[in-house]
Amino acid sequence: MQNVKRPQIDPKQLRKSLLTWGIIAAVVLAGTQIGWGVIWREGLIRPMLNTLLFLYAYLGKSFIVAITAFTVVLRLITSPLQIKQIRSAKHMAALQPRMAELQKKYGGDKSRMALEQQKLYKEAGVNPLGGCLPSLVQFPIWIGLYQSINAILADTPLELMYLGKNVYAGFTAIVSIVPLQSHFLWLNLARPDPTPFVLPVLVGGTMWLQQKMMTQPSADPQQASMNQTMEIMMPLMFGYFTTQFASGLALYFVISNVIGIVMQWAIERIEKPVKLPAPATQEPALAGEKGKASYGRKKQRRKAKR
Amino acid sequence: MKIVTKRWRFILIFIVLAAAFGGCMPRGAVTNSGWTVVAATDKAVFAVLATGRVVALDVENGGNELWSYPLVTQETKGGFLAGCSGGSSSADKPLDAVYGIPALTENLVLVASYDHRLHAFDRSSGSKVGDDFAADGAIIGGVTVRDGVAYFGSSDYKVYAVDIATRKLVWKEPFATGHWVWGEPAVDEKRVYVGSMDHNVYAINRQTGQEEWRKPVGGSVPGSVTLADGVLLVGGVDKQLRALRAEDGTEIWARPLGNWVWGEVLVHDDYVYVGSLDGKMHALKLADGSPRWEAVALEGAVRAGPALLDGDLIVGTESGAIYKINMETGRSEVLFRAAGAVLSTPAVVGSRIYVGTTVGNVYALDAGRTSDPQVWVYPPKQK
Repeated sequence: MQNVKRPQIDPKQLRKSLLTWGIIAAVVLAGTQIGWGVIWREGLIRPMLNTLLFLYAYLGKSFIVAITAFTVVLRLITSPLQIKQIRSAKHMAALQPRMAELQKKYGGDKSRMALEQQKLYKEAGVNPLGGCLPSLVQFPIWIGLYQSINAILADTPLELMYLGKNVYAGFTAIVSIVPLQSHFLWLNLARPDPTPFVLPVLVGGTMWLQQKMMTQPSADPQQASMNQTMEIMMPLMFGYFTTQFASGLALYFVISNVIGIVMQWAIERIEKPVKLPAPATQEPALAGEKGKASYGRKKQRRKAKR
Repeated sequence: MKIVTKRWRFILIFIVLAAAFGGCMPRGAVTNSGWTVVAATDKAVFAVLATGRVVALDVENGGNELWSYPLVTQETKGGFLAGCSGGSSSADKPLDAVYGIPALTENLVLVASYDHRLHAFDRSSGSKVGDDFAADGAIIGGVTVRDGVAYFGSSDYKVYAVDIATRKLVWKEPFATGHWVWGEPAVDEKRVYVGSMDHNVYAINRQTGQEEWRKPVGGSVPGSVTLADGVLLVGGVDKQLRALRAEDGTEIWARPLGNWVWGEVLVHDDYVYVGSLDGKMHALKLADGSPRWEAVALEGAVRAGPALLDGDLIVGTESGAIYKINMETGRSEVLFRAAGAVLSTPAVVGSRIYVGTTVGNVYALDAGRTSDPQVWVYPPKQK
């Protein structure tokens, strides 16, 4: 009789998965019933827009101060995700030497390599996709912020009308602040930078520095090459986008990147060095998998004999 | 080496694409396409579409184009590199966003545009007449014409008075306010009245361009001011409609209306009719601002002013619904549903209603036809 081992279910992981899927199901249900546009507007745009207006109204009527305060608050709210992302990256970096060993051992056998990689991740308690969630969460925030800033710095009738419709009814201070003071130094914050290099360079440069700090070295040459490409492409891309966006949004990126760099530096100082558990001894191959396991072992024994 | 080559290949492709698109993409606000505005006579409808094209349409022959500016040529048709062609002169390009209703004189159609310019077109041929007058900022509101002088405000904070024939300033210098002037001025024999986003209403001497009085009104004035029987009606971001004495700016009354008051005010038979961004239509007594009937809730924000047609108000909303509202009772019905938002005041000539939408359509409707009021639509729908 074959001795089949059932996979162990981690109750904590199960709770997490159920919660995640529950939230996704709730959002999908709400979207289909109420409408995605309504959810987007009421769930993200209006709160962001009104928060920015509130900060502007009560922090000296300066858009720069308002956007800085907003960015700090946003970064603080998303800091647990950023810490998780940094930890995940550090763990992945710490695993690189062992990954390199596996690459040497099983490079020719992709399926075995994948299996051993999964085992390694499990032993070390690392989720290779753990660093993705913070980045995914940031995208809708960026898009929402883009729309909110365009609305707040309205300098066309359509934008001003959009602003008028989305301000909360009880927010009476709006009367005294519209239209917002949209000039800062040489910039009209509702328009792209008239000097087409200052803000693009600032955005690109700060983004590059932040990415440089966040990217952990990789033993895999392909991964390392991809990291280096992204390090250059992303700043170039955002630097280019800056020439098309309102300079108020570009300033948000600069401020956000600077705060991100400072937070990264602080977290790196606070976080203890990664200590991975020692590699587990290899379990004997399961009866059902004997063929597969033994093929790899046979190859190893043949190699060892040579 | 292979890896290095691959990376630099990506970077080069990106740079080439960025240069191709970047050099041809317009910089500036994304939401600045204008909203289609119309003015009409009994023979023609003059419209500036959301695309910036100025057209004259034959009211009797199914809205056929009488003329168009610019002419639709190969150079002006689409394609992502269309914007890159530097060969065409400024006269061949569509206007930038237009929000103000064109002003009609005996021979000209005057259009004020976001490109800072006041354009003049011959009414019968559509050709440009004379040099454009250029302000220092975008011109958002319409132009008011009186005695051969065009009065308009600009985003450069100033109010201009320009002789239509010579395109020269009438005043020594434009009148400066404290912020954008987006509304169309009201003009009588003595003064030019205008609201500004600096929270003030100004009365300017028509001959000298000097300030006669100014009145703080509690909030920005994004729309036009209306003059009727010596009373100036001003709506604003403070959600109020105010009546001021035109002689000295003294406030007669102020009425809260639920949300921003932006559209033109219609005054008829001692009553005032205006919409607000909360989607309601209001009717108030001119004398004291008391309501004639309870505010009528419509589908969508009301940005534009109402038009008058045989005892009914014709009002367009952001949802595209065009309403007919009885002036005496406030009873409303949907006359027509247009594709696209209706954010500009309809034009009414006889029993015909002409209305433009944000997607660039111009509709001709007949309020007398109950089942299908649409007479024609421009551009005509492809079969």
